[in-house]
Parts: sequence; C-alpha cells; structure tokens
Amino acid sequence: MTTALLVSVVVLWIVVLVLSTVVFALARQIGVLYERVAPAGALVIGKGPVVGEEAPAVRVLRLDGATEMLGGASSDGRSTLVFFLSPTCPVCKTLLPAVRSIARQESSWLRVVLASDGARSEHESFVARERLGDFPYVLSAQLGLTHQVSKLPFAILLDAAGVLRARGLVNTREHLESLFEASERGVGTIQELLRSERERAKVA
Amino acid sequence: MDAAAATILRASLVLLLGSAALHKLRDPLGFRLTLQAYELVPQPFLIGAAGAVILLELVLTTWLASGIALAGAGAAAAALLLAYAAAIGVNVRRGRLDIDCGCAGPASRVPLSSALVVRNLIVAAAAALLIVPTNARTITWIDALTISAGIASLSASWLAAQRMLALAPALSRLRQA
Repeated sequence: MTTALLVSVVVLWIVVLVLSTVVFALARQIGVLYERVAPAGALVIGKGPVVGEEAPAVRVLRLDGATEMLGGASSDGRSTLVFFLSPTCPVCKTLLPAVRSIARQESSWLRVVLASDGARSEHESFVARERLGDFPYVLSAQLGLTHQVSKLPFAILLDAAGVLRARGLVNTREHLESLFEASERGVGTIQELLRSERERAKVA
Repeated sequence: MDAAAATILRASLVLLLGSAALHKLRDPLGFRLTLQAYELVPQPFLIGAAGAVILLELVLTTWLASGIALAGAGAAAAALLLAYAAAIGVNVRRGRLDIDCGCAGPASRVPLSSALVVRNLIVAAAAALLIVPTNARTITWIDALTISAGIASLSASWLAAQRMLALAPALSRLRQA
C-alpha cells in the first residue's frame, strides 16, 4: 500500500512539473502570437495624392478600346477601387479571387477597376487566362505615375465624388479590406490610425 | 504545519521577495517612478520610501531564508504583501488601471487590475500560514521530491500567471477589435 502511494506521488509530481512547464510555455507563446497578429493594414509607400483630397483625374484607355476618366465624380454614384496589377506579379494573381469576391459582394456601392501598363497583347492573354473579362481593365502608365505606384499589388479607393479615400500596397485580402476599413474610419490608412491611437495613448 | 509544506512555502517566498528586491535594485529610478505613479507617498519622502521598501524586501528575504523565528518572518511577509495589495487596491479604485504595478521588474509591464489584488491576498494568506508552528520530523527522499518539485511547479505557474496578467489588456483589446 505504502509503495503504491509512493509511486503514485512520484508519478503525480512528474505530471505536475510537466504541466506547469507546458502552461508557462503556452503563456509565453500567447505573447509571441499577440505580437504577430497585431493589426496590419495596407502599407503606404512613397508620396502621391493625399488621402482625403480629390484625386487627379486621368484619362485612361481600356483594354476593350474605350477611354474613360478615372478620378472626378463617378457617373453612377459608386466608389471606385483601382487595383494595380501586372501579369508577371505572382502576389497579384493570389489576390485575384479576393478582388473578384469584393467586386461581387460590394457591387452596390463599389466598382472595381484593374489597372496596369505595358504591351497590350500580354494583357489580353492575361485577361483570357485569368478570366478577367468582367472587369474594366485599363492600360495607363500615366495612372500609375499619378498615384506613385512603385510596388505591386497596389490599390486605391476613390469615393463617388472622386476623393481619394485610401491607398496602399496590398499583399493580402486583409490588406485590401483594410482600405475599406480605413475609408470608413476616415483615416488614410490603418498605419495612420494606429499611429494616432498610439500617440493618444502616450498623451493619456 | 508539516515541515515539507513549510519549506516549500518558505523557499517560494524567498524566491518571490528576493527577485522583487533584485528587480528594484537593478532599476532604482524605475521603481521610484513606479512608486510616484501610485500617488500614495508625498513627493519629499519618495526616495526614502523607495529605499525602505527595497531594504524591507531584502531583510525579509534573508530572514525567511535563515529560518530563524519563522512565525515572525511569515507575519512580516504577509503584512508587506497586504500593504502591496492595499496600494494596488487603492489605485484600482481610483480607476488608474494604466499604471505599471512594478511587480515584474523593468522588463515587463503589468498594469494594475483587481486580479493583482486577489493574487497578492492569496500570497499574503500563504505567507501567514508560516505563523502556524512547524512540527519537526526527519526529511526523507520523498520529502525532497515534494519540496523541489513543489517549488519548481509553483515558480513556473507564478511566471505563467505573471505573463498572462501582463498580456491581459492587450488581449482584451484584440478581442474587441
């Protein structure tokens, strides 16, 4: 009986030690995880049109041959998401399903325009390959220059009045959605929001 | 109280108070600022009070470690921990949940919360258990296992709880987001 109790106590202690080590390790990892999942939004790089001001209107040529004005008040009262991409950019390709679902779900208030520049034939085969025929697809070096697009995929959000609501480098669906969030909260980007919150915390 | 249990309690309190004193000694200015943030000690006495707290912790650590007049050491440690609980409690009532508790050293910030008050009350109650006289008996190998494993698992759980308390506000922000 005593032997059985002794053995049981020893085994129980070993189990308790293992468990408390695991609990400690878990608590540490929660800290690491928290740092990793801290809110991230579309990264804004370089200069370019200021968020909250009217974006310069640019006359662009669509792949279907028509021209249109990007910027300025929109004719149908919807906002415009311009998604800058390139056939040679792999990250752009991974974002296409997200762009497609956003275009479908938000179609009541949002028009999605794909923008790129370069040789026409390349883009035509890209559109055919990726079945992007439903999207207005514009080719304009001027548009990229105006909005200072230096890295892809990049996106800008223009409201119905042609005011730039948000802009930034988008690498994930979350980044893309952060543009809408940034627009709803009336800040240019999530980074800006975080910075202002951090400063508010510092003051308080 | 049984000798093995008393030893676990004593050693854990030595570790707790010793590390607390060490944290404060490593960053005396930081501790002074923490004390100032509590707004309990008038400005002119701040330096003296900070020094007194550190000295008290060091004295208690050595007293507990020496094992002499254990009941007195236990009572003194319990009183100190109750004082900490009261200081935190007062500031929690004032709604000042953003100041650092100063319990985890300069490396990690643990904001004040009622959980901290409860934690200090529990530790104070444990320290007060030392007032109960210890019945002496021979320590066998199984007692050695009980003592060492007990101290180790208590320390690990303490550190884990400390981390969770430090993370609590960040995690609740994340939950709201």
